[in-house]
Amino acid sequence: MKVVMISATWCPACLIVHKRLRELKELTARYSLEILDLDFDEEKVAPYTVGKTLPVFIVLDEEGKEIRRIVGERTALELKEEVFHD
Amino acid sequence: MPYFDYSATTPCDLEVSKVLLEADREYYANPNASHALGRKSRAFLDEQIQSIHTRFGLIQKEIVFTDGASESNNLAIKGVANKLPEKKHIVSSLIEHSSVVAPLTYLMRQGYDLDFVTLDENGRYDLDSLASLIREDTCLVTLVAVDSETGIRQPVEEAALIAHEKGVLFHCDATQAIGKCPIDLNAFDLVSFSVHKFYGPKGIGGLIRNQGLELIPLIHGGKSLTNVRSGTPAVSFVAAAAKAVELFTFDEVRRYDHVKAMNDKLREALGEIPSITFNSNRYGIPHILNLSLLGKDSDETVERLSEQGIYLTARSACSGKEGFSRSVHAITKDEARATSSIRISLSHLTTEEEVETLIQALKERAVL
Repeated sequence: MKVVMISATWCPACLIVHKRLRELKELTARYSLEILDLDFDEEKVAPYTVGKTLPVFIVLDEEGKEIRRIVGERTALELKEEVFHD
Repeated sequence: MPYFDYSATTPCDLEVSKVLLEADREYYANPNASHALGRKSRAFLDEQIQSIHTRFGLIQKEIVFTDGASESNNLAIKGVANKLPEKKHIVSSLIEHSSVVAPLTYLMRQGYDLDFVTLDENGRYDLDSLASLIREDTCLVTLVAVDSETGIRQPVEEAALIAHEKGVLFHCDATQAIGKCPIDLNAFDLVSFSVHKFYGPKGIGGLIRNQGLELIPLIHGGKSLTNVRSGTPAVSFVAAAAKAVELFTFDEVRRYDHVKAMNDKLREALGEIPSITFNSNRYGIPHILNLSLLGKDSDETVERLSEQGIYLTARSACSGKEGFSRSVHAITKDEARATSSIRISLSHLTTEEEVETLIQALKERAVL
């Protein structure tokens, strides 16, 4: 399963979520996690049609089809329950 | 024109613009040049810098002129981090400006560890939390003086004392404070400011640093006015900054009292409306009044008012949850208020008529 995270360098919610992801390193290592930057990866981000709220997590199945999307700041527990689960 | 976004930027005062233009024509020679015209520019520039030092009351400080607070914030954070590479921990908060958040993100990607001071029920830094977060390997504490969304004046002088007791450098982003409320600029090792926030031109700001405090420059190119910022000194912009500082220090009390009166007028008129609640509390500077129109989306309110020729903003661009203000939620613990807040920012230029126009528009919006 693949997870795409879209964040921005200037976004405080993204900053705290990145810190939480570090704490969940063992769990996230089991997923293919691609981190895209809203400003620096514009072409890759464009197909996902992101709104104003960041970060955005998009969970994709093996065929690259979007299964679920989680928008906004999440606690470490919420990241486990909503993003990084099969 | 009912403009209520003075915390974002201010119009340049005509007196300041005049100084800018005249200095640009008269003192165009490079002040670092050794010829007579260069020396003339240098003498004029030194007078302007001295004037800012005096009016800011700086003791054993040096001002590094930058193109604005974003550069100053970057220089302070990356400049300290690169100078002290053995220390890889920084303490900050989650109400900082994007020009603080972005260099912190950059450093985190370089392996730095970050911690964030929590806010208390008044939306102010929890100083016990700060004390507990500082470690042996902390190179910097960086905190904003005034929350740009709610206007809440943070206890940054006390926070700096805590950092200093633990031997850690303290950077204060004072961009929303200077020219609006008293602040002890000597309490900090590094202070960022931007001149366009107090009726000067865009494109000039500064980083006040302790004399002798070493930083790694962002822009390399040899010594100019200081050893951490290269480039031909912007004589006319520094002169404009000096004039802007002169004007607000000369007129500080009258400006403050006028802004306070406009804030009081808004509170009095809008306080009667049940669906309007104020988020700025007693710790707020009067220049910012943050309020919620319950049941009304912030962005939609901003757009509706803009259509009527009234200009203000909602929360900062990135909020973490859909239409959500972190600062407002910290104070109110109320999602409804955090998703319906707007920021009204006031000035000594704000007229009673403009305030009345805004009151009427907000009343109509509240009942629509």
